[in-house]
Amino acid sequence: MTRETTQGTSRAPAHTGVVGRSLPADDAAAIVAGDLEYVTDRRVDGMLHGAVHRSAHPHARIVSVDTARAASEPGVVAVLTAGDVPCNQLGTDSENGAVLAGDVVRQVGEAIALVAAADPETARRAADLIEVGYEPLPVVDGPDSPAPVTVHPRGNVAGTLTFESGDVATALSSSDLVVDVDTTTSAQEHVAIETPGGMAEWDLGKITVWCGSQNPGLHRKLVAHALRLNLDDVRLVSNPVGGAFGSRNDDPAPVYLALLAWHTTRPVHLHLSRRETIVAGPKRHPYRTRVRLGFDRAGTLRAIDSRAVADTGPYVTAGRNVLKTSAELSSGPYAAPNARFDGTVAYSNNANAGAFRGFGAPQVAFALETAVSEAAVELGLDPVQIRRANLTRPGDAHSLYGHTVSRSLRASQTLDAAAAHPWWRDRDAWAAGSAGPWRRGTGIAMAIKGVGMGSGKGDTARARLIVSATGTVNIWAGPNHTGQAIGTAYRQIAADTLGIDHDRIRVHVGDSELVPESGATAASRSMYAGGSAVHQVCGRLRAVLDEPGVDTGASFDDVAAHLVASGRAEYEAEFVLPDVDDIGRIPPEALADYAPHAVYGCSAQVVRLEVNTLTGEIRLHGVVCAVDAGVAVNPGATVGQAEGGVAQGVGFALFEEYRLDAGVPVTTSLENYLIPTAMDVPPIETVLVTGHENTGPFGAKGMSEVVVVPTAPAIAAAVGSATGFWPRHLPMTPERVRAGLSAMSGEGTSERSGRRSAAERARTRARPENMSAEPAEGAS
Amino acid sequence: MTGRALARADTPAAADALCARGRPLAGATDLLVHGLDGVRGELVDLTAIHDPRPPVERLADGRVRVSATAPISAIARSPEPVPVALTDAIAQFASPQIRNRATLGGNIANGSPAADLVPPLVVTDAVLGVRGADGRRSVPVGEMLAGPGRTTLRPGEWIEYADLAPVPHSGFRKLGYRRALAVAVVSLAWSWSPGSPRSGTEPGGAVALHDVRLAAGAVAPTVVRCPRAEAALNTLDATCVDTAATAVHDDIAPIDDLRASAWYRADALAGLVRELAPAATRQLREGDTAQP
Repeated sequence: MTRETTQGTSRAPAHTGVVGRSLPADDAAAIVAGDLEYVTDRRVDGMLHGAVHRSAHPHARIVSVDTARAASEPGVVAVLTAGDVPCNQLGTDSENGAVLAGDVVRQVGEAIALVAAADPETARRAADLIEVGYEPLPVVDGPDSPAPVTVHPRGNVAGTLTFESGDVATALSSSDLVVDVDTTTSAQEHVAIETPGGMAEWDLGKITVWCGSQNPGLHRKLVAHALRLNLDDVRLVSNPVGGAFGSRNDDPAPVYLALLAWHTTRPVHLHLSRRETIVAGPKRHPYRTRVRLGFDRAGTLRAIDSRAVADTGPYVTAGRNVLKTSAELSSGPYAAPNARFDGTVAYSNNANAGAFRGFGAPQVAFALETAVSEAAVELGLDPVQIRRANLTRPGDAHSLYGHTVSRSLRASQTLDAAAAHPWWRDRDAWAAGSAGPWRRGTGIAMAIKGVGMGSGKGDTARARLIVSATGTVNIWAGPNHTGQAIGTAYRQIAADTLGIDHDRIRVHVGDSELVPESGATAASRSMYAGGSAVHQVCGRLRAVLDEPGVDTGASFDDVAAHLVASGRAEYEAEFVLPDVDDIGRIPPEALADYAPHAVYGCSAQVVRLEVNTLTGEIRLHGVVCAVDAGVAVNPGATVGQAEGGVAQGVGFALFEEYRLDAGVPVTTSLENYLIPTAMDVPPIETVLVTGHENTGPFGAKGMSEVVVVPTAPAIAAAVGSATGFWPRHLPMTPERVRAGLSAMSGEGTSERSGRRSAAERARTRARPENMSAEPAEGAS
Repeated sequence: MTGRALARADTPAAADALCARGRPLAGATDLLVHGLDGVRGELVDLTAIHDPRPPVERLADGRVRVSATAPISAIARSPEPVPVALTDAIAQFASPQIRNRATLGGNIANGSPAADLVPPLVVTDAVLGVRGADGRRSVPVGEMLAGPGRTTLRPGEWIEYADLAPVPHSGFRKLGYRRALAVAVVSLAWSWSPGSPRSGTEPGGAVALHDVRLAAGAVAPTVVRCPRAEAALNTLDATCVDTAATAVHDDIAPIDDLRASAWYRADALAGLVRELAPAATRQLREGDTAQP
């Protein structure tokens, strides 16, 4: 159910077209009917099938790789190892990782060899027949590991970021209240429904890869670099893809495909299994975040002090940028005269961590919002009141960097929209209905998230438009579609910019041969960046249409024919995302190192739930998701993003934790890595807060990440209000909640809710002999 | 290449013959979770047996006979009622799709200490009808459970049905880490009779209980009865429940594993025992309409 509020003061320009209407996604009918051919569905005659041989060790020297048995299997066409990769590196330096590990493996699941064979079973069998000799090395099982080795020769620190404004130490020491919250958040798996894969073909000196990608430009570079090809000889067709959430940002599958096709000169199909995806694929960075907040007695925030340590696994892909986002969002939507961030990205032999919806925001927001909620309790203030009193206002300076925040920020209205919902207003009556062991609680939390890659990055999206003589407007634009129906929104923007029916407009995304480079489907930027490029390219055509004598009032068919005949049917445009107006305390030469944003989306969420104090179980009864997205170009799609974000936030909060034992994965299937089911996701009420971002298309800005962020701290706050126990560790499993309750009531347990408590160390070491048994002897 | 075959038994006799050389399979819902990679030889699908009898039948002695090869969703919607503990357990089992495939026999023979349907069978003193090419035998459910993944089924045997004793009041509570499609972290089935024939209420208001049976899942190598906790539950007053919740720790032998620590399993089971008091009071007040 959606409710729209009319809060906020700025007004969108009047538009009577399709912007603001919930048009169904272009592919919707084909998707639900099963007609859409995803990249992994592609099949051609004569194609081969690929398989990957992966490391069994978290950290080991490779002493031998014997491919003889695999290569002699009937049907096997190629077995490729490190020496077969022209430039065996997945990026610009060795700490980005090799395409195929040759000397050292640093993670279970790291790719060592590729096989191409006539059928998938043969490819898999041959991959299993490859014999790798290992000399195990000590395992670095996290940032605190005492292992006497490092993951890379340079050490275990992949990056650091420190920044301070004002004088945090003095401000804290003079505060009336200091709240100190030390949190951990888990490695979360994306669980896109389609696992990575696709096809590649090598033809006439050019490679074409059909493989899901959120960043075709980056993937083209990775392929060209590994195969030493000219960038123009690499084509990437990156959709339709069955979900991404960050996992297709730097996924190596396109490189594997290209390598196999290039070596065999035949089309090769590869589709990774769920187990491979879970074991070898990227995760949300697990964090330890400690936040100290200083308040005066009235509840005014004096200082924010954050320390974050992120575990990026064996190779760094997005890790340093993730930390950058954490730094910027360590002060959340709040204004404080003193702020400090001290962050580290550390290497380990755990899962490689990468981009994931929210990109460093959920981890620090969990700590920050928990600290704000606890401060409200300590100071006897309402949780909404303490937040509202400390919000960054539109046009204010950012707490940490001092840069100017866009006037479109509607943090206050978003908070008020969430708090106006009956699920918040009636929280006392809800709590009063607690029965037996089930205690009822309500929590609120909020977050902001920057839109685009940030200042100093030259973040750009492009669009190309061609009017056909038959009256169709074709637009090639990016970023790409990864399930969010961005092409439909581009059509809406084009239709209203041109003032023509949207049925005349065709939008093409996701083919690097045709779509001008437009950057990643990431950073909540597709609508804002791609939509703006579409708006601009259509604006060029519109300017021509507005010239005297061009649009004569005849049908658009005739106008189009005239445009084609007069050589005025093709247009290009680019949109460079604006940097912040005032860079504040950031040294000009270091702007890109901090990459602050001008434009932020905002979300505030209310959670009502019950906690069973005897068992620690949590049952969610409802989530209100208020979203500040500027103008929602397609409200239905915006609500869809909000609901999906909340569901993913519920998973992060309550269920999802990719676990390893000394670098060896233990949650390797969806049977023991739990994500929420339809039974676990409560009713979600999305409230679209009206606003307007002047630099965005029709006033739109990004919102797809911020909606994932407040869910976990809102759930934690609701648990706190229900029970007095304030969770510090995600996910909030029944065991952690029960341990927390039992410690609180002095039942004699130690800090059982700690992420690396003794009980859990014992648990991950224990063989599951009692519970998950060897194969059954009888029927099953 | 896979060395694997599936045979469908269409009669019990055919199943006897096929199981002499193949591995019986009744629903395969757990097999598919773990994958077919390690499976070799012949599998015998028992769900293809054509049985004209309904999935639940009342026997002359008052017990109910429940098919071990029918989908458990058919048991839940059977016109002939089964003890509430079993319908509760079916309702909390996996997901609707899996309940349309999974069977009682498969759940027993899989030998999981966390099997959802086994605790209800234990508190209803179920006797399993087992058969094979060498004949038939009756096995009390407690004697069928041998350890994690192990039963006392002999090679070639399969489970045809379970006979459940009538119990006046029963129930089942599963604690999983999500609301569907989750293996039990702890589970508890219970049954009891009112202590006095009329109201079940002793003078002074305490609810007296008689013949209390508790069976806990995922807290020991097999599903286990909890005799110490049972003995403490003479009445439903707070002292009794406290005593039972404490005593239940000595009835079980939980371990640390992927899903939970031994500490939590014991703690949560004690929590489920404490939850019994309101559940029992409610049942006595409202009556169980679905009891056999």
